[in-house]
Amino acid sequence: MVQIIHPEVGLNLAIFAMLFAILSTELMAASAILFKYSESERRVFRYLVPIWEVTGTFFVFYVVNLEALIPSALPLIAYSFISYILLFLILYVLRNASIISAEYLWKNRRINRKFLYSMYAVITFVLGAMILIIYTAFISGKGIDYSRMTFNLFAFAAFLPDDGFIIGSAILLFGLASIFYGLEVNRYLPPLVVITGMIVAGVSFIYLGNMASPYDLAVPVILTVLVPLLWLFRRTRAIVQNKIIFQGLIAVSVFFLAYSQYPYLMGKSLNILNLLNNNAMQTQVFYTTVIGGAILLLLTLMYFDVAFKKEELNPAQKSESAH
Amino acid sequence: MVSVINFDRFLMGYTLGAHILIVTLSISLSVIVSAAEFIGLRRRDAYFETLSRRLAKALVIFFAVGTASGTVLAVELFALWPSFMVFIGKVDILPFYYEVFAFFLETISLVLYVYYWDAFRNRYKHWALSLFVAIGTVMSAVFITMINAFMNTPAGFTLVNGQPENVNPLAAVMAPSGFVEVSHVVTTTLAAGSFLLLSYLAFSYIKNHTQDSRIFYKKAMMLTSVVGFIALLLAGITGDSNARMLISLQPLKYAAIELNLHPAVNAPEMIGGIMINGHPEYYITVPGLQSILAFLTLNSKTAVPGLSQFPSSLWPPLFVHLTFDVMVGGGTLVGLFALYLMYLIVRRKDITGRLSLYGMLVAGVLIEVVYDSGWVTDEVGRQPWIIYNVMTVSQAANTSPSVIPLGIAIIIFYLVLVPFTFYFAARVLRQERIDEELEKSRGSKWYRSFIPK
Repeated sequence: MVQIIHPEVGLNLAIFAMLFAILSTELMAASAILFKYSESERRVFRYLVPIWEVTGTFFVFYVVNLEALIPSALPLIAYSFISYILLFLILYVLRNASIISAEYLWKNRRINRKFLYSMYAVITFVLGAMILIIYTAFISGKGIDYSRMTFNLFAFAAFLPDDGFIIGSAILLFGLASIFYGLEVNRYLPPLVVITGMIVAGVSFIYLGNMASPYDLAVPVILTVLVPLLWLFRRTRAIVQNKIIFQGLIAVSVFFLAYSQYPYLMGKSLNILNLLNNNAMQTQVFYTTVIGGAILLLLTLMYFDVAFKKEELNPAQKSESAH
Repeated sequence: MVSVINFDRFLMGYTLGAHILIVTLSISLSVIVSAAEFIGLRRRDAYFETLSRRLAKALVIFFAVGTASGTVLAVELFALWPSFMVFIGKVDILPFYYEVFAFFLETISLVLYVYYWDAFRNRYKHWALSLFVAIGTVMSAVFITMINAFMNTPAGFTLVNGQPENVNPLAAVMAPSGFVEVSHVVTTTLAAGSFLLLSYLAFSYIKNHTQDSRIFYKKAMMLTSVVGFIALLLAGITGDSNARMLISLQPLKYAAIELNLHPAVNAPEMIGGIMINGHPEYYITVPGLQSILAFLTLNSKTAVPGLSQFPSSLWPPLFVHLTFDVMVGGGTLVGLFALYLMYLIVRRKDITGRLSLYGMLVAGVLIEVVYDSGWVTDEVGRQPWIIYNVMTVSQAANTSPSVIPLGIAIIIFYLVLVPFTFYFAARVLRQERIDEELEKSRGSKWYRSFIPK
């Protein structure tokens, strides 16, 4: 049954979907860097170097929106995941430091660029895994002791759907990396890997949080299958290699995936609608999101206008300016 | 044994202090890069063009590390002070939310500004991006300071059994101390970053001996001195308003920073002084000066607030008087030096004399001490409250002991990160020789378009 979503929660899910779409491009870049570094220099860095700074901004966007949406849930997150959060912060700073160092390395240095990019890639994987662990834990509720506000990783990992969803997502993104960045791989490998990842993650997800109806997964499943299918054929390949379309498809899939659990978290034991902020704040946050979203849209259009048009005019200049 | 609450307190203060060092430079660089490019375009001056290109690289580095450490702070806020953030979430989350969009403006404009520099046919369009970067950077600081203003002078709700009721989010955004505090923070941050940059430029001038590099650094120092002077002048004016505002809005904090034991008419200004057995020692006084500065009149009949008007359990640590003195005294010294530099520039005299150059080196260090002292005065002066008269620090803190080991790791990590960032930025700025960069600027399409065929 289709439920009308609360507008504030809907906006939060949309921001989460956009965050995940942009974060996934970094996770895919990380796997490309680790497994196909020389190709990454030509195909990945051109896209990754300007975009990685925006990911951090989206992350802050999501966190602040969440704080505005359900402030009373913050102690649960803060106490349960304090160790993960502090570790996450150290790794996050290290990620920024390693990629900016790789970007601006000087001549005659002792350290090489490949090492720094690889370090960035490994850290990005760990950060992605940590985000997925926290997200998955909140859906399944396994490992979280709500009354004592603690999190037990072993209890979490002992629940197979938790592991399956994280491993499946990793396989899925690994397969999508070749498509998104146009890496030279066997033609049938990406569809095979993507569909394997989708099945593992999808089946796990069904058992994860007691979703209202498995049919809610139809949109993410169709879109996920569509991407490698379009990529298989030369005539349609250009469609999914378009970065905006690809990220749009990921965002829509993630939105519906998250919506399938609505309005519950922690295996149906927590109704998010009971935790919502007061009406006055909800109204102000809604208007701010709409106005701010319009500004963000204009900025994004400006970005694509400058970045893509100017690059077509003079593609060599970008790398010269950066180094 | 250190309590978890005090550890939270220390960790927050420490990361804020480290973040501040990086952010002062981000804000001042965003303004100076924009000014340098504009002057370069207007005067067709390759030195200023090169200056903006060089400093833009440093801006990206400080931005990258600054945004990461800013995120650390944002997450620390809810990880270390969950009850505080619950309260803020219910009443005053909007400035945080506004800040996100300022952050987007800064990030996207900076990416386009730096990575697509030569792709613009109309260079003024490229320069306009630097304005967006500066506006985004400064507005981020404005919105974050609005939260601090709310912590100092909360508004927009009624407190019922410790819970906020009748919330008016816009009234909370417009906290009474907001305008004065924001104007002071923005100007002092710009001043601090400018003088820190100035000390680097002076050091580079001393170390470089080629003609091109000397001209380059001299021009850079002149521009940075002007920006620093204007910012410091405004910081002085807004700082004065800030101190006077405390009399009505935070009288206890005012009494503590002035170390007034009792309310007094025609109160003297006490310089220095520490409390020993309940009485101040080791200080000098200037008769009547405090009242004159407080009320801007010679014969005010109004008394300035005193600590005895408040229960001693609510007094903040009284060393804030010393940090306040360091801020005012140090700020005045740097201000006088900035005035001297302005005199040299206006009279077209050389600013590369020994006194100026070594003065710049000292001013860069001193201004950071002044800036940090200002923040310590503001934050410690509000103790024991995290939100003035609403919530104490102890009520807000995360008391989970698991904070401690990773908190220590964060402290050690920052000890490495901050020096590394400064070293790395300096190294990147030295990556190319000035004459090579000037040749590049002179060889660019923009510069060649001015040469008659």
